[in-house]
Amino acid sequence: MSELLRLDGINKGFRGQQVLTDISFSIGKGKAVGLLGPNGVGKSTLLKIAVGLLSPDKGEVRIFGEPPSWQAFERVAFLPDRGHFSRTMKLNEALDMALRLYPVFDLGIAEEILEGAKIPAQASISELSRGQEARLNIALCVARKPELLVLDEPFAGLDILSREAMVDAVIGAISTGVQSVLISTHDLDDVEGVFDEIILLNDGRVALNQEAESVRAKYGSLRQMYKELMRV
Amino acid sequence: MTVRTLMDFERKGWAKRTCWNKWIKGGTLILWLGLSVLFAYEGWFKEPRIAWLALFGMIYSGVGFGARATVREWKEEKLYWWLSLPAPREKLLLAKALVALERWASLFAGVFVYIALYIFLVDLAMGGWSWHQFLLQLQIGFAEVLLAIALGPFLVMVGMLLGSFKKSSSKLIVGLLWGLVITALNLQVNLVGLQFSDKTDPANIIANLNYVILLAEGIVSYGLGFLIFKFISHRLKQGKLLTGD
Amino acid sequence: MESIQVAGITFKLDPTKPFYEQIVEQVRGALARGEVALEVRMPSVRELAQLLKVNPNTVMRAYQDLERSGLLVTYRGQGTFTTTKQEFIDNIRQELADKAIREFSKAMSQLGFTHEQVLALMEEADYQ
Repeated sequence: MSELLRLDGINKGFRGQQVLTDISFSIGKGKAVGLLGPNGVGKSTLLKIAVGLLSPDKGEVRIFGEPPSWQAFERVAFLPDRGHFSRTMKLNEALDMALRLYPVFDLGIAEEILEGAKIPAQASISELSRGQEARLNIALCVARKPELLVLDEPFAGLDILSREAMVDAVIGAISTGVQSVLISTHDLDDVEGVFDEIILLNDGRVALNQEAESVRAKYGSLRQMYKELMRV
Repeated sequence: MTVRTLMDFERKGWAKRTCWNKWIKGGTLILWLGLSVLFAYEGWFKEPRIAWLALFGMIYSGVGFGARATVREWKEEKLYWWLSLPAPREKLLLAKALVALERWASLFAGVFVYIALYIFLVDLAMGGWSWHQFLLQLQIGFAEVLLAIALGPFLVMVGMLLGSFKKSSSKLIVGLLWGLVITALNLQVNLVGLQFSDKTDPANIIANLNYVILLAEGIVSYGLGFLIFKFISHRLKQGKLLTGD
Repeated sequence: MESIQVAGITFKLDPTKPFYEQIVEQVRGALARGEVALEVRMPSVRELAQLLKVNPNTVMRAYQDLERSGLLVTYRGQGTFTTTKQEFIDNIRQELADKAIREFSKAMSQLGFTHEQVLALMEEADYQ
């Protein structure tokens, strides 16, 4: 099946305040999709709904053709925007744990991503720098070789090197040709070229859903498109 | 993924005490033991078995252990990593509950041993120590162990549920549950209370326990514990717990 | 975007134009100018994608396009190499030369120079 994820007419509100309105899109096999939009537009909520960690008020989610369930997490890796795999574990403990927790975990891929992160072996995760932990987190996701990689603001607040390492890891995953990624970001630095398709969220609605190259052809660049559409 | 693996994962989450902290706690316990023996030697103590009250309190710390297990997930922002583990929600919860229970039980056992030692030493310091007397006193402790076994899992589940609510909107349920806990407490006081008075012969404590009430309490508590477990896992499946609702 | 050098080719991508076309153009240019030799191993799709920070599908598409025109050859299990045949390179040089001439003559005619005047100017010009 070529369609990994499909959202249909998703609505979600919190305490009477509407966050997402009638969101529909789908993600095909091997595609890199960027979910763009300003902070607080509901990107995180949408991603959590997409992987089944939140239930929509209205609408339908199909992941690998089925309603979301825990089984989907054998094939989907989700990186939340904030949060920790663990606070107390050391690097090796975390990798050992991942080997036991996930049905697939390629230590080689994890080590390649962690190369140059200079994570001290004796430090617990809570003692790592933001960039180091971000790299560990992306390694924990990508090494699972998930069919769908869902990353919530993976580049936010990172130093340049960690950011590049994150982008490399994502490109590495797309390069396999069998992995799709869905990435939310409010900031396009270094990632303009990464996406096949763009979904722009504005006011809780899909403002644009197009191939990245055709966006570039029409608006000049993703950045330009973003500015033009957000101004309205 | 086995429950054992998930339990290992969960165990790592229980914060390690720093060595510093450990020394302070150990030192305090030993100091207290020493002072008590000294006081007993001076003849200021009459009833060392009153110390078993502390163990009684430990039974109810199960609520705290359960609450800590779930509160930690969202307080330490590990919730979404935990929830996106590829395992049935029941397994995730079971591993969490078992580890909380394990932590609580090991603390309970530690306190049990400490109190037994305390009574042993204090009795010795007061003079008139005998094996027979010591074993009789231990029976109070054993009775409390039975009560702990009957109530423990329920209390841990109550704690886990309390820890799952981020919002105060759930105060009603919280109040209701605490009501249940207090009812259970009263039951237990009735069961054990008498045994702390001078009038009861310690020799008869185990024999005098009302096993029908104890069994009934056990059944109700395991049943409620199971229901709470089902409730939490059901809410987790719907993506409606621990996530802001 | 800063320029990136790999296998003798200098890439410099402009985010306001389709990346796929830019990659094709820049590889062709490097081959025509002789900056990259014949039978040189090209970076893998993944390597180039990571270096340029673009989607590997984009690089793949560019490589496929260059293979169709014979400038790149992929050997199964060994990777992608620049062509073995000088004639392909000559064709590209000719193509790029024609394009440069077209642009040049267009600019000159817009400035109002006749063909003869342009030729005369070319005679005098320092040819670099």
